Amino acid sequence: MDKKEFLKALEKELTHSQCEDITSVLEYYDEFIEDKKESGVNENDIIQELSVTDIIRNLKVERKIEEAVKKPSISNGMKALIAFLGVLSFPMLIAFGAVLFALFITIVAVGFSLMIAFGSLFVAAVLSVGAVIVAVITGQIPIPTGLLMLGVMLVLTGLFGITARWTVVGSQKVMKWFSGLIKKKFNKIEARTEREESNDE
Amino acid sequence: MDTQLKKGLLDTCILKCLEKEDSYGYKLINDVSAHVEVSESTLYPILKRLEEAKYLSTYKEEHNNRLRKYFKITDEGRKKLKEQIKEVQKLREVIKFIEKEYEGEKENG
Repeated sequence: MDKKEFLKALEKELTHSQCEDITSVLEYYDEFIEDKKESGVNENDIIQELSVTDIIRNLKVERKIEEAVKKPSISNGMKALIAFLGVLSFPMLIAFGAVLFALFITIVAVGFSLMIAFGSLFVAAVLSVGAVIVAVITGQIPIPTGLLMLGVMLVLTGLFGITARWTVVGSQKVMKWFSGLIKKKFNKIEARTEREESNDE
Repeated sequence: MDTQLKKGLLDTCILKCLEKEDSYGYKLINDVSAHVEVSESTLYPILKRLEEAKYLSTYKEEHNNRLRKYFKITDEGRKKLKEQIKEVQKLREVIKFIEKEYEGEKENG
């Protein structure tokens, strides 16, 4: 292969690899071959030592370095995006907090009213048991009717008592789960912020 | 030599060569490869990068009825070279440390 053929082959590969400065590369190698010839090396020997693959590879490596330097890596881009979302998410965080707070209050209110409702039902049932006993003793209600009412009242008392207890235990559990959830979320946010801060250093 | 290490040093070598006098591709390869191995295919991208960074300027001069491209170091390039030489001095400290450790290991068997 002589210089002309080599340069033609190189041009073809450069075009193929979408090289930006084909003319400049071709001029460089043309000059290199000429200068080396002047130093006394045979043209064919020079060409034989040149490798189109090496030339293309080195150009590609350089191009990749250049790209990496020019546009900061994707992770940097992602960082910018996260930072941007962070700015956006600040008011979002407030809204999120407000919703959480409202939910918390609702749960507390529902739990509390359920407790009061079942508690008072329980108290009412206990009182009516007393009232039925008093009524039977004073002879206002015949004994069989009184016993029937007493039975019903006792069953209701038990039922309301158990339900009231469930409500208390249930709301405690819901509260614990909810506060745990919030804690976990905040820990996550905190950890992420710390990580980002340490990355910035 | 390790390619990563060499890559960083080659820029400095080329700027150093051009600090003395303007030069062209083939001569630069010969001058630099007397100290560090460098091929024509590695040199081209470096020259191009240094030129794009405005550390080098180029001009063409006629030689034996053809044009030869010469590279000339710019003021920016001289500034860069100074910075890089400082870095090399830091590198020397690291090398000294490594060599000392190495010597110590040899002595201890």
